[in-house]
Amino acid sequence: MTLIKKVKENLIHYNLWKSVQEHDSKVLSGFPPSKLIIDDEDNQEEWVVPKLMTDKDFSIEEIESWFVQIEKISTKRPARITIGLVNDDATIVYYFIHDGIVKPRQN
Amino acid sequence: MGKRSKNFKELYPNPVPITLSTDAYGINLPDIIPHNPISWLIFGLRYLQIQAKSIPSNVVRVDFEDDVFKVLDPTDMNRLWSHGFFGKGSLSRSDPNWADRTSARLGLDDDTQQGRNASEEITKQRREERKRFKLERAKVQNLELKQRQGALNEDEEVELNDLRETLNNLKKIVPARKAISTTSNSLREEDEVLLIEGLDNLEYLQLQAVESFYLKFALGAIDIFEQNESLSSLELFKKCNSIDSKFMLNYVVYHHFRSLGWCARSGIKFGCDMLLYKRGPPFSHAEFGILIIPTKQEFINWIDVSSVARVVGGVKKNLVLCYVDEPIEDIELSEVSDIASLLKLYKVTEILYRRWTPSKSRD
Repeated sequence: MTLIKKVKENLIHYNLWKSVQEHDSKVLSGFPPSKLIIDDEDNQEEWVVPKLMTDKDFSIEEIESWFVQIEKISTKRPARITIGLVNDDATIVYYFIHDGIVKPRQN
Repeated sequence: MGKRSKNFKELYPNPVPITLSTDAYGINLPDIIPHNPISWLIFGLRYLQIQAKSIPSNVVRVDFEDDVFKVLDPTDMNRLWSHGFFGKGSLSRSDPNWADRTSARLGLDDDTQQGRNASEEITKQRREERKRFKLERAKVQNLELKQRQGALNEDEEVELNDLRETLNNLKKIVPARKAISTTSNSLREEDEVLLIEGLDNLEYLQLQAVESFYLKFALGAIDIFEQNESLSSLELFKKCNSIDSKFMLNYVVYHHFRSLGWCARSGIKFGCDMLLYKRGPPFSHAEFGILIIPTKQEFINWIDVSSVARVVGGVKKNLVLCYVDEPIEDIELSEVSDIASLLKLYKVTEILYRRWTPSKSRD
């Protein structure tokens, strides 16, 4: 199974997202069962970039290229994307990458 | 506790997936009483009885595809999990319980309690309570802001007091040990596909490279197939090294702790290399986080060590720095022919790292 398929399966069957789609075998889009952050809009589309845990070095340029790519697909530059890191024990950890500085959230 | 430990004994009978002759054939070796020759005789007879039978073999099939080690048979998945806690369900947090959880979620069988009490469900319940707390808190904070600005009317004053009380009550709720009910969402299209195609075969047990190699090389408890061709320990060793340049280092440490009776699992959740459990995840939380430090290579800096220590310390575990002395001469791992001799060239030294606060650690 390819990297993107693993993350896709995890989003659908572990995190219960809806309408998960692959784009250019590099990026996933979909809808989580509930808002990821309290301030999100209802039914907000989320963008996920799958990566291997062992790929340590992402340059700012590479991260920027994900934003540009998603902008081309959705016609709107997203305020944040989610990176899905796949470990060799089948754990996938997700982290937000925001487009610039954001106010910290209260825990 | 007594009931629970008895149940655990049935669920997790052995620390390794090896079947002993005494268990397989139900023949127990009796105690020997030194001055009683009959006890020697009985022991001898039983011993011969066991020797006459073949060695029980219960080898699990593992498939290696796309750089992933998979166990597909449900009985085998359960065997590797319950005998030493090897592997992780590809769609679960630890044991492969996705099918149980999903049939509970979709309301497929009557006896859904098992799926509902999965650790994933309990976590979900806790998170939902936390979410509710945060919503109420946001309301209180809004009204408090208004109050400070002196713009609060009488109705809002009453509301604020009510909300404060609700918030206090929410704080008192003891986190659930058992999930009460799962919120039944409406069926997703994805779920309808599941209902048609069935819940079989979607989840598999995934083994890490170090786990697979330990089970094959050290225990002989699995057979590994790549495109239906069986791999020897040596072939597997070379494969693992080619997937992961840190495999040898990880394996040395993994083998070290498993041999000493610890249950070692991935430390990814806490930013370290491994976690050590006394017996396994169902029994107790991991006590130690392991950070592997190869002495031959450049030392990772102390700031990184201290960051990992704070994360590990935050979940009440101790950090162990595991120094690995590698062979003095560089070894080309792809040309190794005797793995056991190679392992003898490595040395592992543990150092417990703990944050020390002078004002708090006076006793």
